[in-house]
Amino acid sequence: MYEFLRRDAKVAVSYRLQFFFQIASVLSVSITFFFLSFMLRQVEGGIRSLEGYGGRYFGFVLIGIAFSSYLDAALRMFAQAVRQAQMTGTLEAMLATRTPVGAVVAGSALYTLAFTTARAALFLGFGSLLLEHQRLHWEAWPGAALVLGLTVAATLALGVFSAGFIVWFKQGDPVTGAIAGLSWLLSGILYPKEIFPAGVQRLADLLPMTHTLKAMRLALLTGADVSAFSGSLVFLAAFAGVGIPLSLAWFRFAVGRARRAGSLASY
Amino acid sequence: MSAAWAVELRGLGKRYRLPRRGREWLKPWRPRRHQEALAGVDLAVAPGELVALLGPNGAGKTTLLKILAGLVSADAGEARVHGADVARDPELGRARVGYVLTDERSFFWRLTVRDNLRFFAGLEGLFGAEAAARVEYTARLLGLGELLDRRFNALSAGQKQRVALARGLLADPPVLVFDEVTRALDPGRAEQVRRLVRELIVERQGRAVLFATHDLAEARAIADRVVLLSGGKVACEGPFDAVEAEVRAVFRAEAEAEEGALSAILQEAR
Repeated sequence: MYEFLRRDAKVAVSYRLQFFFQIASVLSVSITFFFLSFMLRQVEGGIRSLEGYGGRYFGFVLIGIAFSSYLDAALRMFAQAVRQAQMTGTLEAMLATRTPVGAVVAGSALYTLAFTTARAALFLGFGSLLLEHQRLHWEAWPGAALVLGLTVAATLALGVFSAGFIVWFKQGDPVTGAIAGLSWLLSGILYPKEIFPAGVQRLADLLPMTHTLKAMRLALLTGADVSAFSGSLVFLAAFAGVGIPLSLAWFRFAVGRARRAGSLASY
Repeated sequence: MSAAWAVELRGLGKRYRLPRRGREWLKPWRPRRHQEALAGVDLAVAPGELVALLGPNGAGKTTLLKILAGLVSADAGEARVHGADVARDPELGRARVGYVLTDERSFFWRLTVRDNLRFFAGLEGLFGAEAAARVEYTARLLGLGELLDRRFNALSAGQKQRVALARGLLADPPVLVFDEVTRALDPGRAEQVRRLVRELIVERQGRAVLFATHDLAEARAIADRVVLLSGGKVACEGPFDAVEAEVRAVFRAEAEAEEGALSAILQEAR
């Protein structure tokens, strides 16, 4: 795994300008939402759905942005790793080695996971400098780390499922677009999900990101302990517990099928 | 079966399912059409022997090599490498067979030669000092010692080919397979690759090599023995001079068939 991380870090740093812009985008997005929340300042006291998260929009959206970028990356990274290696021609060379297919795919996605985690941390770090009348409760980090770990497990299950589609069908992955779209719409990334009718909120509760954001906001914006968001932790753990074995079984099936069809490395 | 053979294939078969087209989609319960890539291939390669796998396009050469390398699963028969059936256990195939890909796109262009080789050494289970030593050794063996810290995209075509050979030797496999590796090279570079394979990998290191090509002159120059695949079967095998007439007849028939199709296209175009 370390070899994959080393390879991708070296490749990423070799594209210096792109690397710089990826970091710079964190700052510009944070500042953009800071000014949006600045505009909302006069009315945010009256937004009841924000009350449970400290009452301020910037803190609310900061957590949403930091961890939604995480969701997008986790959903896409495996499929992207497979697709990119198929297109550049490196996949067949990797698959001809002793390393199993699953490890090649997991390793190829590792840098994206690490970079996105660092990017989320940068969002929180830089955003916390812009927070007014509110602070991030860093002392709640054990609960936040637990949420993050379970979020990784839950979203990786979806990511592996998506990679199976790419291995078999090469294109037309139906998973990431649907989950990412529904998450952006319903799970409370930019606005509280409580603004929706009860039926829609119940649908939102089926998405892992809804529980991630709720738990993260309670931990980091209000300093709540784990018991305050234990329901979300149970949901994420159950999602991962069921999703990971299913997605791995699906991925193995897709690889076996591609191997029989002789299309493992083709695109 | 004898473990004395480096490679031994018995009745190796592979059929690819063809995609449905047109009206076939209206009757999805009907069995799909298949294309037979390998139809019971028997073949053996001794340690230290270089066998050229000859055949026109679509003869089944690539499928055969990919089964040995664990990239494609077989439908029937056995593919033994030093006694172990890699058709049943593709992981063994990947451990015992070096599939030499000389396509320059199979490398990471923005990394140095050393980083590329270190990465692939890691995938072969070599890490730390062991990987570093193996990379140094194979690079020096192929005259790449001075180029280790140069970016892959700064190498000449011939140097890239040598890096590809070095990659194939990293895991020290007893069997190496080459799939039309000289196809895109100029005659001088192709000759360099042939000499490295023949003199270094086979004669000096005693590895068994299956070298797929459709170039008859190349097969004559490099191989101890040739095996001609046609329509997924072994049409003939033996020293090149002994089977040359048969080989040429198969290639001629193939060319004539294509000539007929080409004439029809040109006539229609007129």
